[in-house]
Amino acid sequence: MKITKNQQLLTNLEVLETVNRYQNEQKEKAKKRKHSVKADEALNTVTLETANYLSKLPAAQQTKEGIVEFVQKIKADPDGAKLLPNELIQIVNMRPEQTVELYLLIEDIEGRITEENVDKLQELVQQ
Amino acid sequence: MFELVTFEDYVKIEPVLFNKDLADSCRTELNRKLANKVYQRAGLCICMHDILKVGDSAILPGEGLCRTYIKFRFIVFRPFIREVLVGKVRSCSREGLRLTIGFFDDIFVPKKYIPAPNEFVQSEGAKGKWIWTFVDEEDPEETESHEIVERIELRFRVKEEVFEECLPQTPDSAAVPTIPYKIVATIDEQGLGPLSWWS
Repeated sequence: MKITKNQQLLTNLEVLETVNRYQNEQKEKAKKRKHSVKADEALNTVTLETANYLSKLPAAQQTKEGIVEFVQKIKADPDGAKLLPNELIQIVNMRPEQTVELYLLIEDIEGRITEENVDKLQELVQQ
Repeated sequence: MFELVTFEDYVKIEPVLFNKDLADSCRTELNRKLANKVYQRAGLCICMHDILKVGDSAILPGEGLCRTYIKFRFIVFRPFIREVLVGKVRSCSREGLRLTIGFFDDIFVPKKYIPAPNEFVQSEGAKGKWIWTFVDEEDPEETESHEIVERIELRFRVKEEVFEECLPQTPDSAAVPTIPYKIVATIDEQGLGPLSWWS
């Protein structure tokens, strides 16, 4: 086995949808089968734990359209366009409620964005 | 937090499964092979995302199995360096903290990455807690103690990731199992640490 391509970031919402789909499939299969297949145990465990963790995050309340809209608005804003893809995905995943969180996620925020624009970004995130 | 990694591999399908759909069989086999396992230099594999290409199938002489070349994408957990995540404290020890995110347990915060001044207080049994004393700069007499105990949710930043090759274990029970994928994190920044400190 070898890796051909790496480094394609995923939002938590996409992973949550995939993992929930697996969980539902497992439940369907489990109803038909009377005993569980030991080989699938690892997949069940990891998808269950991931689903549990992600459902407690803001990703559980997000929708695809909401995220697409948010990303378009951020890119349209001249300061938002300066954000790196890493930072953008973190904002989508974590949905920071306080300014201090935004300072954490964006590197060297004072050098790149002025204070009022930071507040403006904050409001965009809230919606 | 999660990445899509493209893999290429040959999947073996047993003759008893030949009546099933090829893509489904491959999906099941690959999930069984990779789910909840650490792939060196890639991260913790969660589940398959999709199949990109199904190549030729061949039956080699001497076997009844069918080998199919598959190019597929897998969802992998691999936080990038400097990413901020939320997790729970699994245990506190003299060396530092150990955090967990449910599906991944090997996140360590060594002592040097806990805000100073701090001290470790041993309580009953093997448990303990870390106490951070916040000293107000304007008024050095004013100190506030904040503690970090088990099961507290906190925010941490990923500092480094350590991949280690795991060899098959010998029956020697005294050997400590090597951790294939370890994350070293810090909570020593504005906004990091227990969520209750910043709300």
